[in-house]
Amino acid sequence: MNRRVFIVEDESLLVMVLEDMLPELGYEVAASAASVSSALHALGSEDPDLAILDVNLAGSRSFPVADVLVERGIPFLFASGYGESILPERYAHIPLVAKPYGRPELEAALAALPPRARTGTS
Amino acid sequence: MDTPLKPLAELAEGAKLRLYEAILQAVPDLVYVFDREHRFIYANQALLDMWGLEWSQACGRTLLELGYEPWHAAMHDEEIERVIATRAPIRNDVPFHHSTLGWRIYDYIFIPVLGPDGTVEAVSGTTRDVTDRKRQEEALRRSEQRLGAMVDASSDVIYRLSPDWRQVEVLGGRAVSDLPRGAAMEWSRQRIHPNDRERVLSAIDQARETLTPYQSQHRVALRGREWTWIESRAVPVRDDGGGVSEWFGSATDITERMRHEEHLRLLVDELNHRVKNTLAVVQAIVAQSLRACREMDHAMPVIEARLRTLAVTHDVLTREKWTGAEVGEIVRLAMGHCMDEGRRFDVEGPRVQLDPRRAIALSMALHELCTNALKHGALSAPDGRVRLRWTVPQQAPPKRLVLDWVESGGPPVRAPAHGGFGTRLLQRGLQHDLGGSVRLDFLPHGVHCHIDAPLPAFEEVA
Repeated sequence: MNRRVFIVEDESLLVMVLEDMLPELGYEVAASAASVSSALHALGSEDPDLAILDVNLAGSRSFPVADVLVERGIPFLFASGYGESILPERYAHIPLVAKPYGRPELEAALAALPPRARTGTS
Repeated sequence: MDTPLKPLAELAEGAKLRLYEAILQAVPDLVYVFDREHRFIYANQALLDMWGLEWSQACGRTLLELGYEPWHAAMHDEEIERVIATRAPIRNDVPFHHSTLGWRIYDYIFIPVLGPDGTVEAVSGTTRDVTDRKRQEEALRRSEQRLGAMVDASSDVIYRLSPDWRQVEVLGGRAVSDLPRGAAMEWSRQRIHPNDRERVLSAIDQARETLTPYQSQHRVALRGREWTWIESRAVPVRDDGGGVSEWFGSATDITERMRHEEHLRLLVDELNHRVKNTLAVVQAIVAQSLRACREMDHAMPVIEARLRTLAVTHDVLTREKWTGAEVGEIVRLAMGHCMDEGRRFDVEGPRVQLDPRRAIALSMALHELCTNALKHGALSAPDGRVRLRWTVPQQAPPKRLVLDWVESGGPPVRAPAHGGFGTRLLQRGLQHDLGGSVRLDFLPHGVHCHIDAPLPAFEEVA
């Protein structure tokens, strides 16, 4: 079964690109959100296998979403126009795909994500 | 002639006088004697040279008779009288015109010559040309004044350190005034920010070891202030033996500069983010446009028009320092490529300010609506019209922007079989970016797009 990807990205055009690209790469789009609050809301009902997380959501950092993903053991990658220096120390192990990224970069980064860790707490 | 000369004290009076005279004539100082009537009864060669006179011309003359200015003669007359009266020497200095050297400054001492009965027989004087010394002193004084002024004018704190760096003396400066005079270096070390301390101490060690200039930037705790950033520099001052007699340094408050640098760094980060994000958007526009058009030739003008819309929207946002843009202006810009059809537009709405993200989304959406209307919709027929209305309904917060794009008079509308880029951008993208609802209806008599988006409270301009 295709792994389901949660997209957190405030730029609709980029969401559209991902919505086209992900099925071609063998993934399914679980949902998309454009802000921290809508992402946290969506995670209340969605249980995706992977996530792509834009660092800057309309001026806010998406770290609260990242913390929930880490807590739930959902593997994810950051997508950002900032360099890695923008990421706090605790996300040192999270891969970062630099914007603008192409299809090969995204494909490789997604393939390198570990399988979901079953935390057993949920 | 081979007989060695006896010690001076044992010489006959005549021989003594010859020796004294030889000495007095040879010394560079002026030597002279006044009688009690203030007449010169002796003047050595140096004095005669100063006057430019022969002894025969000076002998028995008073100062006034020798051509001294009356004030000058009167001053010495008074001094001679004082020496006679008090039997005590006096010392003074005075400028005088030397016959060949010009104006000079002379330091002189008048002393009483006492007779056997203790009364003053005559007054003897010696005078030394101190012009060079006075000039050096004056030059030194001015130099110190200048240095002092420089220190006072500087926004830096100027300090000196003992060779072992234990004692620091603040010489002046106004920026960092909270440094006690003569404080031990230990004191300043304690005030250095813990994170900077090790770095500063190792810079000091290195400077002292290699006798090379010390320089560091660090934070210090100053009374009543947050951490103050200081740039400190010190250079060793060498003594004649090649050792270091002291260190001389300055400390500048660079807190403001550091703040600016931090601000600049954030700006560069933000700019970098924006550029990368925009490149990603451009990439998406190109990818989506190519996907919809089979022919490269057809895709190019479409891509160009979309990028142009993105660019002019950025222009407006940049002009507004990326605080936002006004809906009316976005409408004008996005419909720029339909301007020839301006008379067929019926546009009306209040001033509403949109944040940058919504501004770009609306701009791109209106561009797609326009393009579609020109190609397939109302604007493709001679009598077609577009009515564009937006309002901010008066109601309890949150405020909303409600916008309607209504086409009429065009050819019969057929809903597209599957959503093209424009349709998708409107239905999915706009909704995503505006955070509201977007309804796109392909009604038989014309396209109707209804947008309803929340506005943060501050965005409406009354």
